[in-house]
Amino acid sequence: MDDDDVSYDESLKARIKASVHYTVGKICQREESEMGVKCSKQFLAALAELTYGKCGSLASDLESFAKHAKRSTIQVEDVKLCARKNPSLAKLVAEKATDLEAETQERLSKKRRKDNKPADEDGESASDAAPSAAVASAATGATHKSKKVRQA
Amino acid sequence: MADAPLPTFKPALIEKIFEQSWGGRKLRTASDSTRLTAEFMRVFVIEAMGRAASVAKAEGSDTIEPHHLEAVLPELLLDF
Repeated sequence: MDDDDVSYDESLKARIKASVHYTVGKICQREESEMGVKCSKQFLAALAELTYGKCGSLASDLESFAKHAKRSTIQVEDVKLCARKNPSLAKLVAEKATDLEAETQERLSKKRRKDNKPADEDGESASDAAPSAAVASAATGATHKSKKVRQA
Repeated sequence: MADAPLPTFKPALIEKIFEQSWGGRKLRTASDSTRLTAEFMRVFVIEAMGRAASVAKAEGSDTIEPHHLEAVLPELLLDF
């Protein structure tokens, strides 16, 4: 039983490494013509191993960051922290994070529109949404006020 | 050429590596953070290759060999 677990772990690790190797190959292949050099197979293997190791150390960093923030979910902020020591890298990562967030928002709004369409028309649902949001904010405002009043 | 999506790590692969490193401890990852990590690793690979390439070129070689990577390794790891 234990032997099976170990061999399963080993084969999973080998498969992950193979996958990393493949992706590193793809990335380097694309850059080869731009840089005007070729990559030897041994170089790719070494770089794949290095990348795998780096990803593992990134994982433990992310774990520590999330734990320090008393969270059990790795957030985008944690990844940004990993790049904090290198200003240009931090800038790059922050820009990508903004892009990703915009992408996610777009996908969400598209999905929402799709979900709403069968029920009623777009214009109607939009006009429905606006007042409810206003009501919600008014309600929270009211609770804040009442809290303040109570405190006073 | 710019239209084709840049080759990068799959979020699922990044997540598997994370899970392996955490070894069963319960942690979840926001989907954006795995994709951001993928980008981080992509930049890492390109940077490693670029630095090794410049060492190879300085040696007058057209092919990057492992010892070129070895030469830039300490500084590369300090920068990431």
